[in-house]
Amino acid sequence: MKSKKPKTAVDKLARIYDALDAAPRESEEEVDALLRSAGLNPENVEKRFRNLAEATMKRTTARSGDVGEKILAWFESFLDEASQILSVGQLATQTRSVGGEQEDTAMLEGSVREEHRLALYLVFNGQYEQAKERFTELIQHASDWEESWLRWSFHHVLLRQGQTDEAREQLEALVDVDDEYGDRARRRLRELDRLN
Amino acid sequence: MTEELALDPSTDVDWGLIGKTLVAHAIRRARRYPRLRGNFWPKGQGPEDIVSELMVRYWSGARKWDRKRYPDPLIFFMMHLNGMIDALAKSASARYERPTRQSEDGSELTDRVDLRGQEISGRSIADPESELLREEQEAAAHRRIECLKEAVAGQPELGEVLDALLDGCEPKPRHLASRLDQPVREINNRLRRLRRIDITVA
Repeated sequence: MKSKKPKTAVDKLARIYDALDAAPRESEEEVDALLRSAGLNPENVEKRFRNLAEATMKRTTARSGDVGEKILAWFESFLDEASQILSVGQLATQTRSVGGEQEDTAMLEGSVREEHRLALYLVFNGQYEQAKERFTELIQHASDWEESWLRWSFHHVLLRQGQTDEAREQLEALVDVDDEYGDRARRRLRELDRLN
Repeated sequence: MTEELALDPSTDVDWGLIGKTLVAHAIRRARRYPRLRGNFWPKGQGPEDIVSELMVRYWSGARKWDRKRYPDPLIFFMMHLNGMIDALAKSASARYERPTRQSEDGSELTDRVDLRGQEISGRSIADPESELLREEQEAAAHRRIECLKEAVAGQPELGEVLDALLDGCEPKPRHLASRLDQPVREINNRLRRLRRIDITVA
């Protein structure tokens, strides 16, 4: 079928691209190649839009005030906190090593941190049951200061799974602790009471 | 009756993949406008920014999704993205403005000129600068077409498709199929191959 012949080069080019657009949708490989041709990294672009959706969702959640959504928002904030917790642990270990404590103590604490990392990885990977087992075991063998941040981490995981009662147990074990985690646990318990 | 909904970002949709596909679509759409080649986009916006703006507009509920008419959100977004890119190419910042005459109070009036160098009022262009702009756009588009032709030189079946389009064939696969006496599936394959070649042509 013949329509009006494009006269200018700009019109001719537009006609060619209209035809390319009319062909069946691009494969993901083709999409990636197109992004690379424009100097963009496909993985980064994908991540940008996932993050954008997540950030928009969090803002919506904050407005909605829904209980389940609030718990989800807590979990997301926990991901940020987790990296800080690990840094605090690392700092404490280094300080103690400098103070002349036994090297094997530092190594043991390093191992706990690695285990905690693995537990978090299992959570990210959706392997909640294995993550719970690992957290429980870690808490049993942790030192006092490690126990606080492990329980705080663990309660987020439990909330994410909707296991509010078990999350409460972790928080209640922290309420008498005379540090930042004790304060956090008391505040979180009050929030849970309000939500319920 | 239409079913209009705010698109919810928590919907079980892979927004990363949709966003990536839309950015690629924006890049392809912009290729038809020499003015939007490379990083030369008005207002300093790139394809990722345009897509973000579009998505947030729908997620925020400022615009609604006509779900009944467009059940696939990707198609729906693509359609609106086309409109945004086209508007951007013709936007005020992409237009050349020139003073042409004076109003009764002596202040200057301007006539806007679009990318293709035609005055909005329909009058012909007399000043050399706007004519130069139009020529630059034409030359860039011409170069692009020549590059595509060169790239398919060893593949006459693809050259046939280009020639048919340049000769005025409608750009739909079924029209190309009828013009070239080929099955639609064959035309779709050729267009896919052309698209892959287009990516590699600078």
